[in-house]
Amino acid sequence: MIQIKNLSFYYKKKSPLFSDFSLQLESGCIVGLLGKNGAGKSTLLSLITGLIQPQSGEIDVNGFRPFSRNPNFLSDIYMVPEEFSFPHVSISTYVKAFGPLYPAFDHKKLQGIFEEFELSPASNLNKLSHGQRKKFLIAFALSTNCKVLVLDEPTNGLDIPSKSQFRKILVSSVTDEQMVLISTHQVKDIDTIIDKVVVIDNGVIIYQENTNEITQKLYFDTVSSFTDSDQVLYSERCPFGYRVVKQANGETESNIDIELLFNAIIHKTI
Amino acid sequence: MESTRFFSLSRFILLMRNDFLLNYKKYLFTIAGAFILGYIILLTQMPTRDTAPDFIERQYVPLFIICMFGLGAFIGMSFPAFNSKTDTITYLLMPSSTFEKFASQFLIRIVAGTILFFMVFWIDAHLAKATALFVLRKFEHTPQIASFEFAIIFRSIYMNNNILMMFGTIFMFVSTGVYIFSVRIFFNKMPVVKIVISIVSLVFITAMFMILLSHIFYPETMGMQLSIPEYIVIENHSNTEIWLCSLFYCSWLFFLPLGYFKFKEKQL
Repeated sequence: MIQIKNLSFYYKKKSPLFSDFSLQLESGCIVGLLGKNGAGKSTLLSLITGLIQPQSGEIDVNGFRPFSRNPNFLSDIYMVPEEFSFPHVSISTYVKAFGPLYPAFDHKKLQGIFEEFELSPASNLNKLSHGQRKKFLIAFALSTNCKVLVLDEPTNGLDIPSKSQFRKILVSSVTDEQMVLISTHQVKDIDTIIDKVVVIDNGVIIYQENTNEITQKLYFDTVSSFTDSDQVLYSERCPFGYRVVKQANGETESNIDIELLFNAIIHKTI
Repeated sequence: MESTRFFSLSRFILLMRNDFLLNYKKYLFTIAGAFILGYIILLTQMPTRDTAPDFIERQYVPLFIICMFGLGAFIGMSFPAFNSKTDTITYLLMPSSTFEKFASQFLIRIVAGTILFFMVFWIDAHLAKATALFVLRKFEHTPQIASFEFAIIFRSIYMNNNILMMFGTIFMFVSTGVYIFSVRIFFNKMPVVKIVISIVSLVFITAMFMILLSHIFYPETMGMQLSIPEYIVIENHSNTEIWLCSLFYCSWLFFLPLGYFKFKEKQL
């Protein structure tokens, strides 16, 4: 569980990014953290993982204060950063070196994900493509079985089949004790797997809702045209007419179009 | 649970294992590089002609000190993860305590580094001597080459039976090593260059401060001169000796916690 209370954070010589920021996230769900560039997503992930220290406020992750970097906290949180680098070793050496540091590391699970992602343990990490290295890192992260997985732009650099494999693997491997926090711009890549949407803008949460509640409240559709009587909350032109967000009528549900939802939130129509 | 918050032997072993698995090639190359460089430095100072003067014990001392700069550079390259932001993330999030990470680097860079340095220098010195003697074998009268032993280094710092200064010199090296190790944590990119600049700055600032004090307390001081009147404090030890020794004896005790707490507060 992640609990943030009255958090304030600013980088040196810059205006405050977060002031009096609060957020609570429960285990057993996949959370999509969305926001524009510079909204504070990556900073929030760094605060949650204890890479940076807030100026004031409280952060509690699984009962630990992240910046204390208690080893028991670190063994239960894994972050896949947007940019990463590896030592000049093979996949198997990397796993041998880092795997034992995570008490719940599952080698069988790793092997299974390797097969899905077509990764060979004998490959040298730095000879793999960016996408393959990312796949390895995701596979490793999932195999640690950490209670909190923080994924910053996990689908960046993945090819189309890998993106669907990623979704499939993620959904199948996350347990009720785990929480996955995904920060991404590529909202379409995660729209079918997230349980909760959190949108932040300028260090403020502007939207927070579970996906099942979203589908009960909102209806996403593509129409050739619409009128005022259709009660469209937000629309965007598309090749076949308009992608629209409407109030749900309570009878039919639609799939969430996260990109449309995000744009609607940013344009303050929801 | 709480007792293992700072140190757990099994976790420390895993951390050391992690370091060796990832960096053993780097360490081997460093040892090989140090071995070759040390050998070259020593060999170039050995006599290779029959007309050359003898190579006496004392000549090993400056060479030993020159080679120690290499050890200083090795210590200055501790916490290699801090050279890049991405490696820093991996390192800071590695499941082990701050103390374990600090201790592992201390053990590898200072303890193991110093032991290996002594071993490599000893082998280099004997190999260089053997090579020089091999080159000189064709001459009838060859210059003498003293054999290296660590007692030479101790004899050179144990002058005038001054045990206070001998330990002062030893602690000068200890304090310098700990300073380099700890100050490295303050710098991310090009740590060795920045450490050298910091040492030069520190010496310069200290000298300037002492010149300033000389001008304040001894108005007759001219320009950039230093006025330090010497007097015996205890058992033939002058005030300057006592001052230098207390500085070297104690400064590592300040720098080591400084480094630890800086590391503890390290942010991305």
